[in-house]
Amino acid sequence: MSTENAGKPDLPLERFSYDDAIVRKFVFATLIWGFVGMLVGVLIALQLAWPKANDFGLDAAWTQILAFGRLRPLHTNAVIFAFAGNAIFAAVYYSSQRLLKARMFSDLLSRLHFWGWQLIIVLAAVTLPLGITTGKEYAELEWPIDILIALVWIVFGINFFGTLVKRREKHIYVAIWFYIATWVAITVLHVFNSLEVPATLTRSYSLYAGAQDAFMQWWYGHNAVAFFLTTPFLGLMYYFLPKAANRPVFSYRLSIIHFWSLVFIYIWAGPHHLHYLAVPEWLSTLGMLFSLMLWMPSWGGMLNGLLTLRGAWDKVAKDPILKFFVVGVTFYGMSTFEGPMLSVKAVNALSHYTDWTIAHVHGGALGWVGFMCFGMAYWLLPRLFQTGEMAKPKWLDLHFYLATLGILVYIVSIYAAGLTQGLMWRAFDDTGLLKYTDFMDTVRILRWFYVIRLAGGLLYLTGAGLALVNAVLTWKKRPAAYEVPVYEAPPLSALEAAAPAPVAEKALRPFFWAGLALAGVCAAVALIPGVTDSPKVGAFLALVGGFGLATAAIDLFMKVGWHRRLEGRPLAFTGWVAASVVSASLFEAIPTFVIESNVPTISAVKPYTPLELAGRDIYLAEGCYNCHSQLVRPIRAETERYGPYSKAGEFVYDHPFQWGSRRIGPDLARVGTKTLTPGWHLRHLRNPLDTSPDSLMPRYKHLLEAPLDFAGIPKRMRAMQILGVPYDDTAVAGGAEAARAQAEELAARLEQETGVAGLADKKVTALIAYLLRLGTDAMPKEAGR
Amino acid sequence: MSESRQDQLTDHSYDGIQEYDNPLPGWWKLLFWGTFGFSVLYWTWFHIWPGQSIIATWEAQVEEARSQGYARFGELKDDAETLVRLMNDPEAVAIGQALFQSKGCVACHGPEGGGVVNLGANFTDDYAINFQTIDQIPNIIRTGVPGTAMVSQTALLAPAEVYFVAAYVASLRGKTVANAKERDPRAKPIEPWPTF
Repeated sequence: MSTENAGKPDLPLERFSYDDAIVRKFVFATLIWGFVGMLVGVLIALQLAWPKANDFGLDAAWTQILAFGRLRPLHTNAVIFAFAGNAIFAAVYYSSQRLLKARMFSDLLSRLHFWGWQLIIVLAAVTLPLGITTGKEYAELEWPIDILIALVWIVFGINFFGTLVKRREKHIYVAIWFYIATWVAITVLHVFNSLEVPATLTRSYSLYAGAQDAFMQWWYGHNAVAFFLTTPFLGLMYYFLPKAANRPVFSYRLSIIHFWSLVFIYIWAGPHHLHYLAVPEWLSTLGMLFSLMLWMPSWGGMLNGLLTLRGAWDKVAKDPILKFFVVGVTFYGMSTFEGPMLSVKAVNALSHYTDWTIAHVHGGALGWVGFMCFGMAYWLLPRLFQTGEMAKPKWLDLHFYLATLGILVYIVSIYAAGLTQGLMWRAFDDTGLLKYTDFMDTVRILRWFYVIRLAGGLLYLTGAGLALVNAVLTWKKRPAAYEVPVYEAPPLSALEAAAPAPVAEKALRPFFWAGLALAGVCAAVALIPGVTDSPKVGAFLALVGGFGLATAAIDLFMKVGWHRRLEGRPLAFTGWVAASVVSASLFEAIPTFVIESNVPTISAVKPYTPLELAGRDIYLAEGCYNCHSQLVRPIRAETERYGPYSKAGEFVYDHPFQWGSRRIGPDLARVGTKTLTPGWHLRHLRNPLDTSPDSLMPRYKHLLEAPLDFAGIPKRMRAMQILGVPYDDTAVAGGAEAARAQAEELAARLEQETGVAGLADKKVTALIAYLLRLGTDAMPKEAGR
Repeated sequence: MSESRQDQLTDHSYDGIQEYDNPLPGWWKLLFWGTFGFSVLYWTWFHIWPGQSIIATWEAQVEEARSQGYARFGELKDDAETLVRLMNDPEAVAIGQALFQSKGCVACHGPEGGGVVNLGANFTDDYAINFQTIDQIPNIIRTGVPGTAMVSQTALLAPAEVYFVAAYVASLRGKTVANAKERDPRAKPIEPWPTF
C-alpha cells in the first residue's frame, strides 16, 4: 500500500486499485496489429519493386484482393488505427489511472472499448481488400464502420471523462491535457469528414464534392496526424519518458505554451496538402503559414522530451527503453521540421505527388510513433506481467539497432526516389520541351530505390517480430495470479476543501494588452463597410488579428497561476480545447463553403452518365487513387505533360474528390482528352505491360470477367441526386437502361478494335467509359478523336 | 548529477513525476515569434502585392518558354504550310530525326526511315498507305493506325514534337537509303509535296 498524503494526515482516505488487465490487452493488440500492418507494408513495398507480387500469377479472384490499390489502404489503416490506436489506448488506460489516482470509470466500458475497436479493425481488414471503400485517404472505411467507430469512440470518451470526474488528484498533468485534445479533436474530425450519403450498405458518397471535399479531407487527414499520431504520443511521452528516466520534466511553462499553441495552430495547417491544386489560393497560403508557425510548438515537445534527459545520458547509453524514446523524440523533431519545410509552396511544388511525402510520413510513423510504441511496450510488459524484466532482455538492443537501421535505409532510399522523380518530371531540355516525355522514364529509374526501401522495411518488420515474440515469452512467465496493489488517497472533494487559497497572480504584461489592441484594431477596420469585400484584405485582417489574439492568449497562458486553476477544472479545460479546435476549423471552412467565387462554375461541366458513374465506383473500389492523381497543377512542367491545369469548377460532381496524393503512375485528370483509344485502355487494363513496358501497375484482367451491377445504378444515382447532382427522376429510373445502351456501344467499339467480344455487361467497360470522360468537359478533345 | 542553477522544481507531483519551472529557451521564443512575423510579410507579398498569384506566375513561365523554345519555329498547326516550312528547316529536321531515333520509331521504320518488311512503312519512296497529303502525317502519329502495330505515340511525344517527327518523315521522301522496303501493294502514289 502506498499513500501520497504527507502533510495532510487528517484527510479521509479511499482505497482503490488499477485495472491493468485492460492495458495488457491493448499492449498485445498493439504488437500484433503492428506486425500485421507492417507486414502488409512490406508486401506493398515488394509490389512496387516487383510488380508480379500484385497477383503472384494467381487467378482473378485473388488478384483483385492482392493488388496494390486494395492493400495500400489496408496498410495505412492498420498502422494508424490498429497499431498506433491500440498503443494510444494502452498508454491512456495505464497512465490516466495513475495520474488521476482512480480506476477507470467503468470496467465494462473498458472492455466494450477494447473489443469494439478490435471488431472495427477486423472489419477494416475484411472490407478494404474486398474493395469496400469510400475512396478518401485515411478515411476509407464505409459508413456502417464509420458509425461503429463513432460509437466506440464515445464509449472511450465516457470512460475517460468519467475517470477525470472521479479522480483523486486536484490538477491534471500535461499527459492528460494531450489525451483530452486527442479525444475532442478526433471526434470533430471523424464526424465531419465522414458525413456521407449511403447508396447501399457498402457504398456511400461524401457529402462534399471536389474542392470542398478536398478541403475537408485534408483538414481531416492532416489533423489525424496531429491528433492521432502526435498529441496522444506526446501525452505518452510525458508519462513514460520521465518515468523511465526517473527525471523531472524539463519545463512546465514549455508544456503549457507548446500544448496550447499546438492545439490552436495545428488545425489550420491541413490545406498545405492542397498547394497548387484547385482550391482558393488564400486557403493554401493559410495552410502553409500555420504550418511554419507550428515548427516551434512542435519542437517545444521535442525539447521537453530531450531536455528531461539532461543529466541522465549515462542511463540512456545503458537502457534500451530510453534509447527507443530518444530516437523516437529525435525523429519527432526531424519530422516536425521537415513538415513545415514541405509546406512551403516552392518546396511543395517539387515534393508533392512524389515519394518524398512517403519518406516524410515514414520518418514520423516508423521513427516517432513506432519507437514510442515499442519503448512504451518494453517498459510496460514486465510491469503488467509482473516478471521484473522482459523474457529476452538482450533482444531489446537488437530490436533497437534493427529498427534504427531499417528506418534509415527506408527513408534515405525513398527520399532519393522522390527527389529523382520530382526533378525528372520538371526537367526541360534546351528547346524548352520536357526532357522525359515518357512518364515511364521516371518510373524505371525508381526500381532500385524501391528494392532498397523494401530491405529497410524488412529490417524494421524483423524488429517488430522480435518485440511480439519477446512479449509472448514474457507473458508465458507471468505469475499464476497477478498481484493487485491497493492504493489509498483522499477523495477530490476533501482535497478541494483542504486546498490553500490561490496564489496571487502576476500582473498582466504589456504583450497581453498590445496583442489585444492589435486584434481590436483589425476587428474595427473589418467593420468599416466595404473593407472585407475583398477576400484578400479580409484574410489579411484575420491573419494580423489572429496574430494579436494569439499574442494576448499566449501571454495570458503564461501567467502560470491562471493556467494552474484551469488544470484543476478538467471540463472547463476540455471546453477551451474544443473552442480552439472548432473555431479554427470554422475560420477556414466557412469561407470555403460560403464564398461562391472560391469554386467558379463551368457551364460545360455536366454530371457523369450512369455508366460513367458506375465506372467511377470501380475506380474507387480498385483504389486507383492510391497511384494516380486527377489534378493538373498550374506548373509549366505539368501543363506541358498533361494538358490545361485543373479548375475547381470541373469537380463539382465529384463525390468524393479523387485528386490523389501520389503519382506512382501518371496523372489522369485529362486522360479522356488524350488520343488513347478505348481499345488501348482495354489492353492496358488487361495487362499494362502490353502497352507500357516496365509498368508497375497490377493487371486488372478480372474486370473483363466481373459482371457490372446495372440494377444497382439507379440507387447510386439516387444518392447522388440527394447530394445535389442534377439527375432528374426520369434519368434515375432509366439509369440501368441508359448505362446498358452506352455499354453496348462502347463494347462494340472495343470488339472492333481488339477483337475481344462480350464486354457489354462487364465492369471494364464502365471503367473505360469513365476514363474516356475524364477531363473532357472543360476542354475540347485533341484532334483525331 | 549536476543541476543547472535555473532548475527550480514546481510543487507538482503526479505518480512520482515532477516538473521544473524552467523558462523557455530564448532561441525558441525568437523563432516562434519570427514565424508569425514572417507569415505577415509572406501574406503581404503574395496576396496583397499584385502579380504574385500562382496562375500569374504560370502564365509568365509559359510565355517565357514560348519565346525561347520552339516558338522560333512559328505557330505549329496541322496544315501543309507548317509541315513544309519545318521540312525545309535543317534545324527542325534534325530535331525530328533525333526524336525519330530516340522514341523507338526506328524499330518498325528502319534506322533511316526505309521501312521494315512486315512492319513499318518506307518513307523514302513516292507511295503511302495511310496518307495522301503532308498535313495528314501529324495526326497518324497521334492516333496510330487501328489494326496495326502503329499505335498512338502521344505518350512518347509532346504535342509540339509530333510536328518535328512529321517534318522529318516528310523530308525522307526521295532519299536513297540502304535496305529500303519494296513498294507495298496497298500503297498508292502520292502527289509531290506542295511548295510555298
